[in-house]
Amino acid sequence: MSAAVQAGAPPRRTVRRRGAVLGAGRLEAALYVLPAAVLFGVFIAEPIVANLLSSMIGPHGRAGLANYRAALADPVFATAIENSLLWVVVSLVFEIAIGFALALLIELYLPRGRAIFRTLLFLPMVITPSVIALVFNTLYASDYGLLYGAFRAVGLADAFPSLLGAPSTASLAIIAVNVWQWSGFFVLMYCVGLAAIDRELLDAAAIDGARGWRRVRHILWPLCGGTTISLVVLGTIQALQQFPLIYLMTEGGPADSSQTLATYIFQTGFVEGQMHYASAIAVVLFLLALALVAIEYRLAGGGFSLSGREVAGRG
Amino acid sequence: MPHTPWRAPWCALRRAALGLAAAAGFAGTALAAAPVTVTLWSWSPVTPTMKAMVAAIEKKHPDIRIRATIQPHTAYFTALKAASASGTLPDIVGLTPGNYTQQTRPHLLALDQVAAAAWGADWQKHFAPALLTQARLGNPAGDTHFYMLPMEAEVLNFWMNRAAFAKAGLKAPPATFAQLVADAAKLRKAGLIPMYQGGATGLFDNWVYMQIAAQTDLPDLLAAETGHPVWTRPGMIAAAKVWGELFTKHVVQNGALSALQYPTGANLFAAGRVGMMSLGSWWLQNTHLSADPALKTMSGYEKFFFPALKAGGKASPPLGGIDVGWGITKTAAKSAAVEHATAIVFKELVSGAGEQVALNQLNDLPAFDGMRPQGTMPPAVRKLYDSYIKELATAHPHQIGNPVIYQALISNLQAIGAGTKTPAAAMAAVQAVAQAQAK
Repeated sequence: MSAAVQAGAPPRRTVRRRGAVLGAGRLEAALYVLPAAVLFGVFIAEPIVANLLSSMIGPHGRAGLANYRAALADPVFATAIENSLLWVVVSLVFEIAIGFALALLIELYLPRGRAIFRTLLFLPMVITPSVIALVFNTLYASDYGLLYGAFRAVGLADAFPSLLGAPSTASLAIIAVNVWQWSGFFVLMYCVGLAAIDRELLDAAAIDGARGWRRVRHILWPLCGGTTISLVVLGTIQALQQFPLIYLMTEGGPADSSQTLATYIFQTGFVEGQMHYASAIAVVLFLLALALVAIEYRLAGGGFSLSGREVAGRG
Repeated sequence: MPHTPWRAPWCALRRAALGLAAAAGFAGTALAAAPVTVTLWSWSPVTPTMKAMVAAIEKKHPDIRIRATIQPHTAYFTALKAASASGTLPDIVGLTPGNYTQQTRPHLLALDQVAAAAWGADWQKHFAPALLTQARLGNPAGDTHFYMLPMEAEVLNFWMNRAAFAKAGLKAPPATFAQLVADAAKLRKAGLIPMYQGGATGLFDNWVYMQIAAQTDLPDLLAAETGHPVWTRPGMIAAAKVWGELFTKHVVQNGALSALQYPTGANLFAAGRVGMMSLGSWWLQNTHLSADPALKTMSGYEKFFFPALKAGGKASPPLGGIDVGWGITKTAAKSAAVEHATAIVFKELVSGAGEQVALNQLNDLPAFDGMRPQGTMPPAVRKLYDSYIKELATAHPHQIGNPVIYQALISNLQAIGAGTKTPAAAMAAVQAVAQAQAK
C-alpha cells in the first residue's frame, strides 16, 4: 500500500477531475486574457521592440550602438534632455501649486457656483493645441502682439521682451502655455480628492486646533497624497510627450533652444530623414519616462489614486 | 456528418462570400466602363488652384477620376514619410528637389520612360538644363534617372509694399545695404515693421542667407548646396555677418526668430503693416486669390533683389529653380489601368491641361518649354511676370540637397540672429555637420 493511500489521499479519479477542472479554468482564463494580450503585443510591445532594433542600425546599415554614441556627442540632444527635464519640473511645480490652491478655494471657500468654476477652469483642456499655439503666438508677438500693445500703451515698447524669439526664454514661454492649459485638469482632480476626505476627520482636526494654514499643511495636503502622486505621474508623462505646442510655436527653435526629446525625434526622423537616430532618441525618451515615474512612485511611497484614497501601492 | 456549433456561421459566411462573388460577376460589365481613379497628394498648388486643375484634367479625360489631397507644407511631408514607411502612398506625389525626393526615392518609379512616352525620346529639351540638374539633386553617384519632374519653377526675391513705403516717406526699394538699414529705420519710425522675417519658418532663414551669399561668394554657395563642406570660406562667413546685421541693425522686426512667414507674415504684408518681405515669384498668385485691388493688379507692390552690399555694387543675382514637381510612386503600378491613367495625369500636370490652369492663375512660373498663361493680365502683372521668366533663365539653384545640413544651417542662422553664436562660430558648426555628412 502506498503512502498516499495510507494518509487517506483522495482516489486517483478525483484528482484527475480536479486537475481537469483546474485545466479548464486556466484555459478559460487564458481565453479571457488573450484579446488584451494580443492587443498589447501588437500595438505596444511590438512597436517598442521594433523601435529598439531600429535604433541599433547605424550609418551604412551596420548594427551596433553608433546612434547612441552619436547622441552623446550631439549638443542638440543634450539641450533636448535638459529641456525635457525642465518641462517636467516647471510644469509639475506650477500645475500642482495652482491646481491645489484653486481646488482649495473652490471646495472650501466658494459658497456656490463650484460646478461653473470647475468647468471654466477645465475649458483650456478641450481646446486644440493648434488654436492655443496660434493665440499665444499672437499674444507673445513683438511689434503686433497683444502684450506688446500693452507695453506700448504705457510707453515701454522698447522694453518688450521677445519671449519666443530669445533662446533663454523660449522654452519657459511655451511651458507657461502648457501650465495654463493643464492646470484646470489638476484643479478638477484635487477637487475630487478634497471632496473624498471624510468630513468627520476634518471636524476632529478642527476641534484639535488645526485651522487655516495648519489644516492645509497637516491635514488636507497629506490626505490628497494619492491624488498628488497620480497627477505627478500623469503630468510627467504629459510633459515628456508634449509636441504640438512646441512645434507649432517655435519648431524647436530659435537655434534649437526649445527642442525637447519629443520634438527632436520628429526633426531627426521626419525632417532630416535619420529614422534610426530618431529611434535611438525615442528609446532614451522611453527610458527617461520609465525612470522618472519609478522614482516619483518610490519617493511618494506608492499610492495611486485620483479620488484621494490610495488604491494601490505600498503606502 | 454530425452537427457542430461552429459550422452554421461558417456555412453562412461561405454562402455570403459566394453571393458577393456572383454579384461582382454580374456587375463586372458595368465596372469595366467605370472611370479609373488616380490618387494624388501635394502641398502645392493651393487647394482652389488644385481643384481647378483636377476639373480641367477630368474634363479632358472623362475615363479618369483624380482624388487629390492638398495639405500644409510640414504636415504633407510628414504624411509622405509615414505613407512611405507604411506602403500607403498615393499614385502621384508632389515633390521638391533634393531631400524630399531623395527620402521618397525608394518608393518612386524612374520617370525616364514615362517622359519619353509623353514627350518623345528627346523630352529633356523641353526643360531648362538647370531645372533638370535640380530634379536629380542628391541622386546616388551613378544614378542618372529622374524620380521627379518639375511642374513649376520659382525665383526668390524681396517685395516692397508701396503704401507702407509711402507712409514712411519712401518711394523706391533700397539699392544698397546701407540704404536698406536707413529705410528700415524710417519704416520703424512710421510705426511699421521694416522687413518681416518669419524666422521660425526655417526655410526662409536659409533662403535669405543664400540670397546674401549669392552676392558674397556664389561659387561656394553653389558648391555648398550640393554637399561640399565650404561653409567656412570667407565669403560664406561674410554673408552670415550680413545676416546677423539684419537683426543687430533692426532691419527685421523684434522677435523675428519666433515669427511665422505664413500665414502671419504674408497677411501683415498684404495688410500694409510691413514694408518689405522675403518672398518670391509665387506672390503673383495673389492676383487671383485676393480681392484687394493693390494685390489683384500688383500696383501696390514692387520686387527687388537683396541690395548691393557696397555702394556702386550690384544686387544679388537671382536664385531660383523648381517650385513643385511630380513623382509617380510604385503604388501606381498596382494595375495596368491605373499605371496608364497615372501617366496621363502626370503629363497633364506637367505640360497639359492641369499646368495650364495653374499658369492661368499665376500659381508660379512654367517649367515646361513654351507654356505661358492664357488670357489678359494687368500691365504691371505682365511686366513682373515677363521679368521673372527672364530671371529664371539665369537663376542659380536655391535648394540644399542634404536635409541634415539644411537643418544645421537653419539652427545656426537662428543662433546668429539670437546673438548666441558669432557668424564664424555658426558657420564652423555648419561646416562640421557638412564634413560629417560628406564621409
